[in-house]
Amino acid sequence: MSANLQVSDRFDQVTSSKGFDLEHRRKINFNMGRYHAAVQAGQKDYRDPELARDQAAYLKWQAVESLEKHLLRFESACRTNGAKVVWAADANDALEAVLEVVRRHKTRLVVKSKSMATEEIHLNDFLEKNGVEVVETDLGEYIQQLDGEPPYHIVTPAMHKSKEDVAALFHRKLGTDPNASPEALTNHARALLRDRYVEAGVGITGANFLLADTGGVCVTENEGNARMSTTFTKAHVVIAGIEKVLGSMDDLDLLWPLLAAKGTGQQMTAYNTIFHGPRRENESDGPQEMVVILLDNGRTRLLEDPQTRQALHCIRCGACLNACPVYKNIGGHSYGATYSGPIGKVITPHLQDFDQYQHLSQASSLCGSCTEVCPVRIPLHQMILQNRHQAAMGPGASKAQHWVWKAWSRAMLHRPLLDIVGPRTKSWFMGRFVGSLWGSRRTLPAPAPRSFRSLWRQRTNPPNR
Amino acid sequence: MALSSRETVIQRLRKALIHPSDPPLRVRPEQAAEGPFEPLEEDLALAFAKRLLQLKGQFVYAETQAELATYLTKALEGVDNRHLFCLEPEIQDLLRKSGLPYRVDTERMEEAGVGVTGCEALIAWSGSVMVSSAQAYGRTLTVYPPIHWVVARSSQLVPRLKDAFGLLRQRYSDQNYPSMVSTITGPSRTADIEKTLVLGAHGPRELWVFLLEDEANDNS
Ligand code: SF4
Repeated sequence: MSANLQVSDRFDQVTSSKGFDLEHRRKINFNMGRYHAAVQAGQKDYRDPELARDQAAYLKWQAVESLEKHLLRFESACRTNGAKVVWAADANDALEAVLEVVRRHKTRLVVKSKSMATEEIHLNDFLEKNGVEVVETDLGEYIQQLDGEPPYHIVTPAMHKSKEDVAALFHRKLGTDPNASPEALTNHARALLRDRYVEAGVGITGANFLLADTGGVCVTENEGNARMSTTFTKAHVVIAGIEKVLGSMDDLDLLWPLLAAKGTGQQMTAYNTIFHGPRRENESDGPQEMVVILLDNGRTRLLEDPQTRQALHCIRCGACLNACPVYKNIGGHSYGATYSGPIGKVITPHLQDFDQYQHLSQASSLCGSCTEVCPVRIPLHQMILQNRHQAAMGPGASKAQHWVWKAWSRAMLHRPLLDIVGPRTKSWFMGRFVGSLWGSRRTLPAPAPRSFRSLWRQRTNPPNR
Repeated sequence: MALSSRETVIQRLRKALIHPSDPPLRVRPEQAAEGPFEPLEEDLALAFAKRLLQLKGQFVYAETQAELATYLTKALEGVDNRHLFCLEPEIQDLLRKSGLPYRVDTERMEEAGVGVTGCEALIAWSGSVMVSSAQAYGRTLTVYPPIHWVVARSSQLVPRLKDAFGLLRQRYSDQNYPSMVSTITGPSRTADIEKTLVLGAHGPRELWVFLLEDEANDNS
C-alpha cells in the first residue's frame, strides 16, 4: 500500500509539473510533427492500409494463440542452427544467463544495441555492479546513457531533447564544440564507438521477431549499430520477450514494412537482419557463440486472460505513444515505467505490480487515438478501461474508494431518496464522499436543482393532462 | 524437485492458453490475394533505382563489362580513402577486369575506404539489397567500411521481400541458412537528434549499387 502511494504520488507530482512545462511541450511537438509528416508520406506505399493492419493483426493473433507450440519449434530450429536457447522465467534468470556468458568470455566490455527488454530487466545496472562496462551503441540510447537518463520513448529514446540540448550535453561530457550540428555530433559518436565494437567481447541485442520455422532472430535498426555489435564480438546474446515469435519467415514480408511505416514512416528500416546462429564453419566472420534468452517476466500473466492476451500482439512500433494526447503533454518519463504511453499503461500493471501501476490507466482521456493507429489493431483504449475495472473491483482498490462508489451508485439508483432531500443535501453528500477522490483540478458538477427524473416525469406527464 | 526455468515457463504457457481467444474481427482474407501494397512498376530495375535514389543511395547501370569498368573508376575518383577491400572471387574478378586494385588483408580492415561485395538479391519494391554471411567476410564488409559498393547482376532482381525469402529457401535448404542475412535499405542513417536525418551513423555513409546486365561477358 505504501509503495502504491509512492509510485502514484510521484506520477501526480511529475505530471503536474511536466504537463505545464511549455519548453518540453515545444520540443515534443516539434519532433512529433516530423514523425507524423513522415508517416503520412509513407501511406502512399499502401494500396490498402487497412488490409495491412487486418493481416498483421491476424498474423500476430495466430502466433500468440499457439505461443507454446511456436516457441518449442523456435527452440529446436535455433539449436539446429548452433545457438543456445535459455528460458528465463523472470528478470533474474535472464540477468544470470547474460553474466554467465560475459564471464566465460572474460570480457569487461559489452556493446549493446537498443532493446526495451534489456531496459525492462535493468541489465546495465546489473552488469555494471558486476564490474562490466556496457556501452549503448544506438545514438539515441548513447545520448540517454551519457545523460544518465532512461529512454524517453520506446523508438526514439532522446525525443525530448533539442539539438541544442544534445550539443550542450556532448560539450559537457565529451568536450565537443558547444554549437555542434546534429551531423557533427553523430560523427563524433560514430568515431568514439568504432573502437568499442572491436574491443568488446560480447554484443547484446534485443529481437523484433523470432521465427518458429527457421529459428531466426530478427533485429530491425537504422544505424548499423546492431550489425556492428554482432560482427567483431566473440558472443552474441539476444534477449527476447516470448511474445516475439512468428510462425514463419514469410510473415516478415508484411511485418517489416509495417513496423517501419508506423515506427518512423519509412518504407523499410535501413537494416533488417535475421540471425541464424553463430558463425558457421564455412563462414569467414561473426561471433563463435550465440545465446538466445527467452524472457517471460510476467508475460504469461498477460496471456492467461484472452482479453489482456491481445497486448502481446504489440510489435513496439511506438505509434500509440505518438498519437496519445496525454503522452505529448506529460512525456515519456512521467510514467515511471519501462514501457510508456498507451501500451505501457496496458501492460505495466500486469508485468509489474498491479496495484502499484494501475493508476496509469486512470491517466487517460479514452479518446481512442491509440487504437486507431495500432498496426496490429490492439484495442488499447478498451484495455485501459478493463484495467480500471479490475482496479476498482480488485482487492487493491482502496477501502474508501469501494465504499464511496457503493454509496454513490446506490444513491443514483435510488434517486427518489435523494429527490426527497433536495439539491443542497445532494451536493453535500457528493462533496463529502466523492470530492476527495475527484481531484482538485476538477470541480464537481453540482446536481441540478431539479433532477432529470422529475423533469422527465414532468415531460411525459404534463400537469395539465 | 524444483522445476527448471524452462519447465516453469512451458507450464505457465500451457495453463495460460487453456482458454482460446477469438480471431480479430476485421480479417478480410478474400482481399488478401491482391495484398495491401501498391503494385510495382513493370520494370524491376527502374523501380529499384528510383527507390534507392530516394533513399540517398547511388545507382549505376552498366550494360557491358567495359561500361562497368568506366563507372567504377569514375566512382572511385570522388573518394578520399581509395583502399578497396574485396574478398569474393567473382567480384574480385570484375574489379581486376576493370583495372581496379583491391586489398584482401582482413586483419587491417580498419584501413578500408570502400568495401566491395556482391549480394543475395536486390528487392525492387523497397530498393533493398539483401546480403549474407555466406559471402566472404559478409558481416564485416557490408557494414564496417565507410563506403559500400555492391556489384549485382540484373538476374538478382526480385519484385518483393517475399520473393527474396523464396530465393533464400531455394539456395539454402532449411536449417542451412547463412548465420546472418541482412536486408539493407539505403545508407546507414539516424534521426535521433531532433529527427534530423544524418547518413552514416555507424554503418556506411554511402551505398552504391552497380547493376551489370547478365549477358555482359568478358569480350563485350
Ligand atoms: S500497441 Fe500497437 S501502436 Fe502501440 S507500440 Fe504496440 S503495436 Fe505499436
